Amino acid sequence: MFKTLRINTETGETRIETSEATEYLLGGRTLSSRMVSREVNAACEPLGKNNKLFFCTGAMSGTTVSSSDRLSIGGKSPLTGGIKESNAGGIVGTRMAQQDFRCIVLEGAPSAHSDWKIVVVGKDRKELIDGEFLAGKGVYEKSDLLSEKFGADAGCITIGPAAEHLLPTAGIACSDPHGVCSRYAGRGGLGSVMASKRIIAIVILNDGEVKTEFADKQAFQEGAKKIVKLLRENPVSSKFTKYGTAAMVDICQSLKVLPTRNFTRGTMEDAEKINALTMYDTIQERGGEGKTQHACMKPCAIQCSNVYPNEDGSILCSPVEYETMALMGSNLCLKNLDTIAKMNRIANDAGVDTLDCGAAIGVAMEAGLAEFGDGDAAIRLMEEIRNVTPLGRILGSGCKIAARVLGVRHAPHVLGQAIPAYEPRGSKGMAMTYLSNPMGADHTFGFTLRDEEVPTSKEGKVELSKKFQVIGSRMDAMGMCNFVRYSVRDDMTPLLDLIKARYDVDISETEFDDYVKETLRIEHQFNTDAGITALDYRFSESFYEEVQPDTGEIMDITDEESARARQW
Amino acid sequence: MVTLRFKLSDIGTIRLDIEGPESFAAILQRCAAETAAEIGDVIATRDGKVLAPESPVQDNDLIDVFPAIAGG
Repeated sequence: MFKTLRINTETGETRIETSEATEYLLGGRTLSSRMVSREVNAACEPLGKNNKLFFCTGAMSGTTVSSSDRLSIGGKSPLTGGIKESNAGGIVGTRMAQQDFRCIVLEGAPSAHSDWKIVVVGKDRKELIDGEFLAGKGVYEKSDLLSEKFGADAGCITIGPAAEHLLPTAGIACSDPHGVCSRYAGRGGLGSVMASKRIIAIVILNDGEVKTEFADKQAFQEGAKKIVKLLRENPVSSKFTKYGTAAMVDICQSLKVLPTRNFTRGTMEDAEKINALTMYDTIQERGGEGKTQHACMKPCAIQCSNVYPNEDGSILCSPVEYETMALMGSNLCLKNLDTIAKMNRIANDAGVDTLDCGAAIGVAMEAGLAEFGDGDAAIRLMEEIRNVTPLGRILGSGCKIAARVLGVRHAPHVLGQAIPAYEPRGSKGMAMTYLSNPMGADHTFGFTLRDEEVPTSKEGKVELSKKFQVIGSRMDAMGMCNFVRYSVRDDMTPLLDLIKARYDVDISETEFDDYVKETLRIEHQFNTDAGITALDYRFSESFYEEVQPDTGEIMDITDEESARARQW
Repeated sequence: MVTLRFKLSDIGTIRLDIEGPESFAAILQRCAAETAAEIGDVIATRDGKVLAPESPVQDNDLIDVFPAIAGG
């Protein structure tokens, strides 16, 4: 029996429901997208009282299975106007499992000027308490105050000043294993949805006493060990352990898809100054609190995350990931990892998505507000966002709105969400994925790049993108880390065996994939009902008109082709 | 002489003599025979273009070989 805690943010009333349905068993995006689809009027205003926010754990949450504790957050996005699922690592899923909740729902909304509240969930309390003392503070300070009040081992969810001002790129920060709210469900502006309900934090206390039950404990333990073995032996996931996602800088530079100069180029001179080896060596040389390996959740056999230190060894930012290194680095022609890490830290403190803000600053640089390559100016623009100045509000609204306001045509987005760190004219597979995602441009949705023999050709890319849309969405579907997919992409049996051992429920690979595909159909239908049409699944026209000089390519994917890639 | 630079890897650079065009897959097999390290899945590029397994490799080619990972 899976429990859902519903919280009416207008009245403070709480209610617990139970269900045995398979969508609750799987949890993750399977559950969050179905709940959004069923309970949220697709035509509603994302920041109005008719939107809801769903926090869902996954099928293996609270167990010893490696990399299985992603928290899936769903709602209608103020950035894209469509359905949104954004997920994060950290310890919140574990704490929810210990309190026996598969899902927490924020419903309704008080008046826009009501006092801020904190939702506190413990074994003897489910209540809203005063949260005014957190208002206006950065996420790092909020995180410290929450740890002080509720203990560093509590699972905390909070938002930054950008969300408090309802900016569409505001994310939701979740506690990492050290009690710092640094693990972001960053995309789609769900932080602003939380703020629209005047909830400034959710705290899951570490007093839960629910013990995980297993249908077959021995089989489960053996299955959990098998996952660790698969992850350690897999040459792809094991490579993440040393270099993390930063390894992509060299690969994308070589393939000429490294976003550079507001996505007008695919290579950057001196890209090695911000690559994985430079990052690895910098962290090693500085020592102190720096770490080249770090787990965003426990347990995790991959540990792809990192802690990037200042020159004196103190923590500057954790984590610094490839997508940020590209959008806040090469995309702005910045060649200094310290600058990128400082921008990343400001973004984390403001509570905004690094990709959307990096892309917006690229647009601002193209508009002449600063020179490409000017790190001090880039940091100043990030400060504008953190301080929620008029310019900061424009940039914090994402690159689509920033481009309109600043008079720039080349806005790198789909559905208003910034394109991730693979220049789409150089990888038609990734481009097809960007154009197919009901959440807007995103890379984890269907990562084709490593399997494209001719990245610049669109031939076969509808089928390739659809293949990887399923492979990528399988992990979201049950709350697993996306990087587990390499170990199970050809055989999901190890994960399905764990479901059997935990719940005594048989799900075949075909049945599981049917759930994944049904989720995609539900999400696309929500977007249709929200008024999103095929014409919205396009890049800015400049991508179709202007050759990317490093590859000699333009965007040539047609509406018909991208529509086929969205057909399930 | 073909030069393969294995990036983000302990393998380093391997140079192989070839008498005529060979497929990249065959070249990679010869590399595997020369090194104790596991090569695994790779993305390879030559002059900025992806090299497929069946692509012919010529004398004097310079090939960059990366572990086939993904972003996050």
